[in-house]
Amino acid sequence: MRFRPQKIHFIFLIVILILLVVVVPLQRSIDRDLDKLHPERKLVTAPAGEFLGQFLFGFKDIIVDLMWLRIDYYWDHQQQEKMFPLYRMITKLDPRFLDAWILWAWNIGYNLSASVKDPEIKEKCYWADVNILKEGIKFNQDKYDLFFECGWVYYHKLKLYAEAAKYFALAGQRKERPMYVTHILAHSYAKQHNWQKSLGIWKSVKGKGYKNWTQSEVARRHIKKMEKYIEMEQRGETVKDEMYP
Amino acid sequence: MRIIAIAKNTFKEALRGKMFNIMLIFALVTIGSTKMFSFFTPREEMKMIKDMGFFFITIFGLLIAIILGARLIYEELEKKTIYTVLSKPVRKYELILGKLFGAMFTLLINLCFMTAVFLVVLYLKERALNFEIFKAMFLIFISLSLLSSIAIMFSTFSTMWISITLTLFIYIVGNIFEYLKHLAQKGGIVLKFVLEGAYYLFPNFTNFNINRDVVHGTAVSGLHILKVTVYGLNYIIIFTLLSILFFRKREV
Repeated sequence: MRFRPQKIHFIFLIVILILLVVVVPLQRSIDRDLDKLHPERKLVTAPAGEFLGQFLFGFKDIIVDLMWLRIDYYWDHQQQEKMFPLYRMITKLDPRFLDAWILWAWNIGYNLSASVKDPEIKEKCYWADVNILKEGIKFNQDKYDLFFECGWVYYHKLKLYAEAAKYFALAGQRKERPMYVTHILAHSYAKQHNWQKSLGIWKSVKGKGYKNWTQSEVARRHIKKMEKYIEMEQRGETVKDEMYP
Repeated sequence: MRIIAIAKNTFKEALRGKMFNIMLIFALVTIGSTKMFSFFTPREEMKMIKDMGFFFITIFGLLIAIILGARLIYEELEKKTIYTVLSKPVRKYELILGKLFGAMFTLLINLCFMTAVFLVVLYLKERALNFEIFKAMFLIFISLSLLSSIAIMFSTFSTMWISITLTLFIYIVGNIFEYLKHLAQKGGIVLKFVLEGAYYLFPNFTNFNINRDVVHGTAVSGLHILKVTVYGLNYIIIFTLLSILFFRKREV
């Protein structure tokens, strides 16, 4: 059976139309998948940096890398102040680039804060550090890194051990976290004089039967220490902070 | 059979061109890049190498897909070899399909070569194979095939350079649709209708880009890959049908 050319063209157009109609639910479904994969898609507001990514036609990763190389140059040439706008742009373009969040926060919380003498400004730097990490956490819920870094600033700089423990615990719930995340969680409970919780964590570390001798030895030593503090408290003695640095 | 013969011929023609020189440049640049970033921490270094690898694969793939697609029909018309082909019992649709399959096969071979080099480089660095890369490469292949089909469509009624320009335009527009869609939310009803209509009418090339997920180790589900593949094939069929339609109308 042979169709007339007009008829063939008409059939073609109908098929094209059907295929275009199919695209609508398909694209909506893909959009839903991408919203889950890339939470930043929902958070964009014009004319922020996220939109710049759209105009780089799929090559934004390479632009991010070039900016990262530039940061390295500024670091080597002692031009740290020029690094901060680049960190902001990089994290806007690629919010899942963990090292960008970590180093940005670290440069403020550790380097910038070290360069000022005023304790009030120093503290502001620590809070800025924490806020950057918290912003990064929004986009990296599945990774332990930023939770750990945030906990570390609370622990080491702000001395807010309850908050630190909260973030270390969250880091400990993520996959592929290193062993020291659990260790530091135990330390933050000990810093709050919550010896029982700390002891529980060290026991669980030892109970997992690590083949690594150092791990087991560290756990054994801390279990001994925690048990000693618990006994001291039961006897009505106070455990001084210096005893648990 | 005739479609396969045309596809084979298209592939052979591509081999005679400069395609493999481009591959060689890619291989050298990628291998060279592994040494370039060794001053970074291992995680940063791996990110850089992966980004570079995907960038070169995409950019060389884009060049090959668009130039090849735009040249195929145009050159046949320019050199008048198309008359010899069409004087034989070959239908116009067979010619278009043969050219498209030939271009797709050329792209596949090209991508396989570049992926192999990329994987060797990554293996030498990580001592492990990341199979998620295959998902990204597969979607790059679908997007490049789509671009080729668009270039072939334009080449059925315009010159090579106009086809290249128009295909690039579609690629660029297809990468900023997310922005346009967001813009539509803020506009009036007419703007919203036009931009949302365009969002679903033109191929959205951001759908095919999962490179960043692979670099950051985010797992992309097989179902998502399937949806994007169906989406890409849908558009390849649309543009191929349009190519056949335009080519049938053309006096050759």
